[in-house]
Amino acid sequence: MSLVDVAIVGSGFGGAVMAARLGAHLATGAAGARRVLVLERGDDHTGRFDARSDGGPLNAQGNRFRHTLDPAYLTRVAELFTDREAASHGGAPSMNVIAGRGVGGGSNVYCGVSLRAPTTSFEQVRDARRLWPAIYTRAALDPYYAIVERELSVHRMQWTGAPHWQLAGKRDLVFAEGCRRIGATAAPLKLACDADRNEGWWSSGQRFAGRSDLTTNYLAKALAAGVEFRTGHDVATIARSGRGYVIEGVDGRGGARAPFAIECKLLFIAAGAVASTGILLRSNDAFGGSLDPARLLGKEVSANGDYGVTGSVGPGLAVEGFKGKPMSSFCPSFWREHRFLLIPFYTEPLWLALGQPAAALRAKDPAATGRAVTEEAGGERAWGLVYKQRLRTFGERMLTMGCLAIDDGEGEIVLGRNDRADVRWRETSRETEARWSTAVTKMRAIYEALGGEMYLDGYRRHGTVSTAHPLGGCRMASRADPRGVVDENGESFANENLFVVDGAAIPSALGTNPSLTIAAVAESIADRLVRGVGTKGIAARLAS
Amino acid sequence: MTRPWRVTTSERPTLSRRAALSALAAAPLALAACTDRAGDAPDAPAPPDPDLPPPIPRADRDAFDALCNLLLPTEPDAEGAGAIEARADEILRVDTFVPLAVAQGLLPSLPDAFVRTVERAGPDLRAALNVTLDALASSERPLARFVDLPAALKEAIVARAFDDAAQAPAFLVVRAACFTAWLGATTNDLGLRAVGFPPFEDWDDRLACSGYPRTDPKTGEVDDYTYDRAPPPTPDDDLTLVLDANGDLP
Repeated sequence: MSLVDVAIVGSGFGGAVMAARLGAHLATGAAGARRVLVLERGDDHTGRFDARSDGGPLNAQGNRFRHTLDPAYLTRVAELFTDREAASHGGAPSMNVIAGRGVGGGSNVYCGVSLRAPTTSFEQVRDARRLWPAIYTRAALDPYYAIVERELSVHRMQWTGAPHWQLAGKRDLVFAEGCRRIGATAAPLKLACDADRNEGWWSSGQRFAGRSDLTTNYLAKALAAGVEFRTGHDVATIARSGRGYVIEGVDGRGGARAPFAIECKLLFIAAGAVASTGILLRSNDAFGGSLDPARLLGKEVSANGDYGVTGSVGPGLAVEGFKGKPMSSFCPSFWREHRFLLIPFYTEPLWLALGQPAAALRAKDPAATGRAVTEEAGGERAWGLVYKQRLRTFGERMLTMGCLAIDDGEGEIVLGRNDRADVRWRETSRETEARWSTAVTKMRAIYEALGGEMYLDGYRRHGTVSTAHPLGGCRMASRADPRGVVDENGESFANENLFVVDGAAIPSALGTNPSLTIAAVAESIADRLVRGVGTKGIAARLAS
Repeated sequence: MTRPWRVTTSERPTLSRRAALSALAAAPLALAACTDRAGDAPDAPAPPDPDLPPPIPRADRDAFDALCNLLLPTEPDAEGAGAIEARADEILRVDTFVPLAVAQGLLPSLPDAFVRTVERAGPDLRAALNVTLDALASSERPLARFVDLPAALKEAIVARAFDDAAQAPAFLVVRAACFTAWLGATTNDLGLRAVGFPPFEDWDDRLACSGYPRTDPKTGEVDDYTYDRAPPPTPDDDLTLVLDANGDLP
């Protein structure tokens, strides 16, 4: 069994920050010669982090994306965009999760939106207790937000007077006009992007160099600091060992399914909200239940209030949403009263034609948001000439939008078939229903103000909540009030040197895209560990 | 840029170059036949339009093609390519297509036994679908083949199949294959162009369109996606009360 000093499971926004910061710190020799290893379940689409990663030759854009029907390739791409462990279609009502995979984790699929979470998100209270540990406030995180923004090259988009790559697109101006007509206002978003590089499309020909994904910043720094990367490593369980922890799983590189076991002194779990929780759920018995002293593991999972709809605007309004960045603006006008944001975004037409937001649905009760309130409109079918002609408006007039909101953590992660993490959505709370209902009403009003129509979504039809921003499952709490799975530093309450440092530890919905906050929280934890402030320092931990 | 449907002849095992060229010569008539509107065809064949995809030769048509043409029909215009031209048949040759489509939310969860049957069928899936469709046709009109039924009857059969729990999975798979081929740009970009997307910048390198300014090689015009202008202010909605100077919610 190989031994490393620090093992990090996952290379998304939590894992990448820890790899860069701890890697750089240990590379100085502050704690002697130390070995840091990142284990990533997916592939290395850049070809820079793991020479043994699958994926074939790099193309002219420096990645391994191709249009081909090769089944092995299609499997890899599908898994990059839809993590099988994070994508659940089981259970009813269910929760579908879009999750990134591969070196860079969620940054492989994010749109670069980098908003700081508002003060009110950190101050949420449930059962008369603050959901976040006391050390986390917006003001306390602001310095770490600033660090992450620098690392990710976050820029605020502009309506006018900026370089072309920093201008909002036609879609945004159409959206802004719709907002204006209903008395609201759109503003340019902050995006992690730099210079004149194209975002392009997602799964069909996307240029992955188009935005600041983690391979271009944090992970590049980690690599430069000597951090090792192993891809294709699917972690099944963790357990205590003589020197710390042992990680067991399967190395899938080269098409093999070779079992592996790696021992480490410090272990950081950062495999994403669903996968991290799954690892702890599978391992809890081996820890005698000490991973979950408050019996909250897998509980209170948030979908971050994600609720997407699609539709078309009226003739004469050129959205051309397939051009430019997939998201560049948002409407914050409803936050103060209703706690949701609206964001217009690009969606693959294939997904719209076949996926959850089937275009033929109409609400029986336009004001209602809940399940079982839709019907097929006039027998309209999702196939045939009429449907095809409806899709022909997509290129110019398709406008997808969604809300991000405060929800009540109604999701749950449990172990399903083959011990796979299964994500479920319990009954939506009255407050979340009301918030979504208001958001849907506003979005419908925007479409109608633009002379178009809104099509409905999977939640109305099937009760399926779809989210790209799962949060929680291993929620953090303060040591003084340990109603969580890990403490304010992400450390297990009963297992020293075992940490969860990704979206799984985030204790509530944020109402904004969470990548910046996940990274800022990880920065703050890394800072305390490196300096030994508020917790035992990393050098002391490795020495003991 | 290379037009994908012109250069992918070698990628199409079922369509020889000779057949494609010969079909191209008869494009208008064959296209009309593909849409079951042979009676509407012009009296004299017009010269082949280079912007039209090569049609599938009549001899290649079977119940499967007819089903594809119902689900996502070919229309007789420059952007009228449907499932057949987008090569839905090639999608069905990918033996992992069904589980991939389920994983991506493009298909609902299907019974395990059905998925295994599809995977086992492999290249025989098309033949199995032909048998199924002809059986459904025969139940309507004894001994009739599906391709020979009037369009309205074909449509009624397919509509009923989607509502039949036993038949629906197979029809959902074909529907998913049709749209995946058409909008997924797996073999060509005809479907994306049909819904208004620009052609791929470079099909050979599989580069989709760039959102950044570029000069159209035909017109010389700059293709831009921004307006570089600010929206007019909204009365009584002051964002300075909502956003801080950094552009965040405070």
